[in-house]
Amino acid sequence: MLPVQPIRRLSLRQAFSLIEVMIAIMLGMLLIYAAMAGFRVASQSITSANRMALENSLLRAGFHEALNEVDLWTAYDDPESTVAADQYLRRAQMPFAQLPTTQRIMASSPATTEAYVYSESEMDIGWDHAYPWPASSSRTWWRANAAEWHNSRGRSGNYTLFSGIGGSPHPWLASQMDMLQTNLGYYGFCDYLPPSMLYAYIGPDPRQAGRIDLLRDFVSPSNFRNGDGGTEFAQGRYRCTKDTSYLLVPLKPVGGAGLITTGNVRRIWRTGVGATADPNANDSVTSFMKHGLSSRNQLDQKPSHWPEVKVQVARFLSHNRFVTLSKIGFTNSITGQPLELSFTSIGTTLRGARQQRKPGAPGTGAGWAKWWGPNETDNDRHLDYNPQ
Amino acid sequence: MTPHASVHRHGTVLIIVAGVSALLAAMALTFLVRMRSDVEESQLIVRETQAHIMKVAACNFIMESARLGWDPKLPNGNRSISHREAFGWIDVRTGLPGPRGEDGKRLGPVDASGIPIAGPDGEPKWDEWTDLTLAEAVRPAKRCAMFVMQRPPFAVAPKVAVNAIQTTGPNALKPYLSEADPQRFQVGMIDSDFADKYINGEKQPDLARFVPSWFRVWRAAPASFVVTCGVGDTQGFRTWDEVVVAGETGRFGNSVGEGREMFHFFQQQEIRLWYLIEWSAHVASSDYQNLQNEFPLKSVEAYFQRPINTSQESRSQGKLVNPVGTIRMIQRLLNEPRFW
Repeated sequence: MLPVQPIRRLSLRQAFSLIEVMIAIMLGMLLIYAAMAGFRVASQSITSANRMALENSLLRAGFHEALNEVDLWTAYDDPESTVAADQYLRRAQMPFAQLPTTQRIMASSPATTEAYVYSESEMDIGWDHAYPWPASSSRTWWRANAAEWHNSRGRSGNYTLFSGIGGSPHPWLASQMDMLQTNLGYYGFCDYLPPSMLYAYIGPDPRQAGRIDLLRDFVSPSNFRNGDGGTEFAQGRYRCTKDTSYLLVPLKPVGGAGLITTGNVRRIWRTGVGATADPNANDSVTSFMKHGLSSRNQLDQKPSHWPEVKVQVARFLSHNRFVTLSKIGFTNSITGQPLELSFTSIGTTLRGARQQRKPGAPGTGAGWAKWWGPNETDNDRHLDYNPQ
Repeated sequence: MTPHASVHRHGTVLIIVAGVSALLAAMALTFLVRMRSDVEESQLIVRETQAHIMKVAACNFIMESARLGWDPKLPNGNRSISHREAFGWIDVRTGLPGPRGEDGKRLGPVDASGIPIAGPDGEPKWDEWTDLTLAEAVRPAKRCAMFVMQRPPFAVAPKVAVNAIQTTGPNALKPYLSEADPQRFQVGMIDSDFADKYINGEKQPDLARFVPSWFRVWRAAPASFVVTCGVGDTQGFRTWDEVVVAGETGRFGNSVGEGREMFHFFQQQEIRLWYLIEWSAHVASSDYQNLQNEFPLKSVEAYFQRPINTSQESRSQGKLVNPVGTIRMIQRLLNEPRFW
């Protein structure tokens, strides 16, 4: 008979009591819950932080793009694009149209003399991009009668003898003004002329059956003159834009591409006192912005959960101020909350933007013009200098 | 349970807790790195924006130096007490390149007694950076390091309504203009100290608002300038050689070898924008108001004009003061020009 093995009693150290198990499970669950809750909060924080970081990144990118647009004007002309619509404003009578140019008229050599004598003539025609319009030069002086209107009775004399196109000895300034307003529209007219100018000139007036007189459109209420105070005489840039504006229509205006017309860059907009509240009326700020504000989405191929980002620009002249209005906005795709930042700034002018671009017909993708120095032979031609 | 098994059980809990902690720490680290990255990207935007501000500063400099700031500078650095007025980058009287003084002669360097130093032609010399007779390759640029001063010279107190109408007391509702407006800046100074501090200001950089920024102006033609706008620690020096010639190697560590490396490092970090800018002597027109519109017949020319810029005349720009010309054209250059 085998010896009976003594029953080995389990030690209390080798098993759990029910209470112990329950406490252990409870503590374990608490631990797991705390860990899960912590993880969840941390995870949500990270998601939220990532989302806000994404929004910040997009805002930064939008701001960067807006600053670039201030200097590069690609909302008005994209010189590298081979799509004709991206250079639509190069058509005749639009702000990026080719101007007739003259030969460079700077006669002296800057390396050997400081004279810089400009061999200028009243008979010069076309635009000379290197001519600085010295205030001392008599051909830059406005010589009409500042108190006259069109159809003058000439009580102070016949000023068409002193100044203007058509027989006077001083036709240069009037022909420059005529060329600029005809080719570039009113914003360009004001951008190119010195700020001291009175914006009217004498010439054959199509609205007065070709009579040589102060052009009626520039002294009497018209698409150019606002008629402020019922006045009808030549006025400076402040009076011409007091409570009114001239604008540039971008390639993609908010109101649609149908607004890009030669007429819309040759009309006055009532944007101050007298502007109407009806958004559909022509004389309303809403209508003004429909024509003038660009509507370019920045991220056409973005993931659907990313915010919608827009960088918009409007360029106009009001109260003698050239305004570049930049707007950066995005809409949160989850909450739908919109955010907009707008600012104005000083950057490349229209003339500068035209000098940035190589000449070329719409769709040719002519590209950017390089400028290396004032007398460098490898400077590119540009929209204001393209002698044939 | 054996003691061995018990050790295993305690280790498991430790591993779980350590793992969860590590996970949380990793997430926190990712969060911090992301935030750091955001801040760095924002710094870039701040610098780019500051570079655009430098463009405005450069335009102001070009306009003002068309007329102002040409008081003779003596070799000891002091300005002569005689004030010289210039007549534009293209002299409005003659069309010659400026700046020229009231006598039509060039404004430039002077000797210890304040007499203009003559050039080879016997006439006063130009400052080198304005001298268009120098070849383009050797014509220097004007370098302007910019910063916010602790208090600029002639600072005024930032009070909006100095003569606010009182609402209580014996002077209630009386619109007295009893105090000078604006008021001079004077905090905690005795009168005897004030004049000097008011005139000289405290020109040390305000470090709380310090962003290293600068611009350079290179004269390309009588009224055209290449403006370089920069934000970074080169302080606007284009090359190390420029630093050496200016005796400013101390800014970059003083030791020539290491200083050069430091300078080149700063160059790589820097934002630079180039612009071609044209100045014009023409200023905004003084718009006027003929009283013609108040007569029934528009064909009557009325030569009676309202005075310009009177406070009651809304049809001209109030307080139009612009004696320094205008910036007529700005063109951002898309390539680095050869001279700047």
